[in-house]
Amino acid sequence: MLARGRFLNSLRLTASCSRTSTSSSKASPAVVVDTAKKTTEVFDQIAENLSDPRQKLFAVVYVNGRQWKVTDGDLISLEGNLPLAIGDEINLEKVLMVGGANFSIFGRPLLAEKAAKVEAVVVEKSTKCPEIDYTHYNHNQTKIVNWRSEETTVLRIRRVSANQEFA
Amino acid sequence: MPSLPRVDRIKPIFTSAKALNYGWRFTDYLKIPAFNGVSRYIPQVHRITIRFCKQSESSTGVRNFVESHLWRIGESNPSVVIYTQPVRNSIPTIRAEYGNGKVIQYNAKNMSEKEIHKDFVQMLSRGGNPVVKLESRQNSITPSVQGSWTPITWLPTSSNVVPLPQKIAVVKKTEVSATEYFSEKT
Repeated sequence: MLARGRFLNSLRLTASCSRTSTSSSKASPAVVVDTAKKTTEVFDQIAENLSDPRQKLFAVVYVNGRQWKVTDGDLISLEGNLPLAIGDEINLEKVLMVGGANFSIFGRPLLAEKAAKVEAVVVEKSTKCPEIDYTHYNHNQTKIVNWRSEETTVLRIRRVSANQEFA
Repeated sequence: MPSLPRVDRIKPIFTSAKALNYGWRFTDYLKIPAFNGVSRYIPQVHRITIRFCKQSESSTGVRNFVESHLWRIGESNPSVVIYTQPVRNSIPTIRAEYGNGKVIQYNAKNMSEKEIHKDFVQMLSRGGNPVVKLESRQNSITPSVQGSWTPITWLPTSSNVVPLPQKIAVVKKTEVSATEYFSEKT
């Protein structure tokens, strides 16, 4: 509580001492930015980050009706018996964003095909833990019990990679 | 909920059966044995044994399955050893053994050919871990690449800067502090 009180106090002080603070209170003047130059700068920085082989990337992919944030070695369990055989290697192609430790690239809404690659393997096709669907009608001697165990398909994300020439 | 649902009531049996969904269950995180698929995929089922009777009524489905499907399935899965054991007057079973040492056995008594086919394919495609309720549909060893967000992550650092002298609390003192002395002089 003490630390918080101090923090608030300091905020109040900065608010009250308007005459001492000169630059912070005024709005910064509008500057024309060289967009092309800025873009190349940002792209160069991203390329530099991507050239590091230890850079771990993550991606947001759209699979099975929802978005998943995945990295290398992730396991995701998809609903349903999908038309995939066990051991199949697939690419997840609806990539919404790719990011590293220092950057993020967003698609509008999807990234271009060559920009990002998310490789996955089908490692298991199994069922979920059974859930009971129980229906009971009063005074009717009617009880319906369904043990529902839905099928799942488990994917292992092998590798998330991004291409430096994504533009 | 008690560990055993009460059935000594007439009406609320309904409630207890419904509660089975919410009762305690084994839970686990999504797991695959032996880091399978990290570098390459290795089929986890090692051998499947089918045990059935050649004449009894209850293993008709298994017999039909062995006749019509088993050869093709065996050819398309060369890494799996499939045994068929005709044992007189036995209950038909299908047993699968996995790389992690787990054994899964189904009782195929009075099951139809179609049902057995479905179960057999299911056994081939399973990893060998028991089916339990999952805590999450995703498992990751790197939950966050960019670091998790905290309330002060994007707070402007300017709020840390305070013009001196900072008056935290007004305390009446007889002595003059160094800061006061200095600010009076200048």
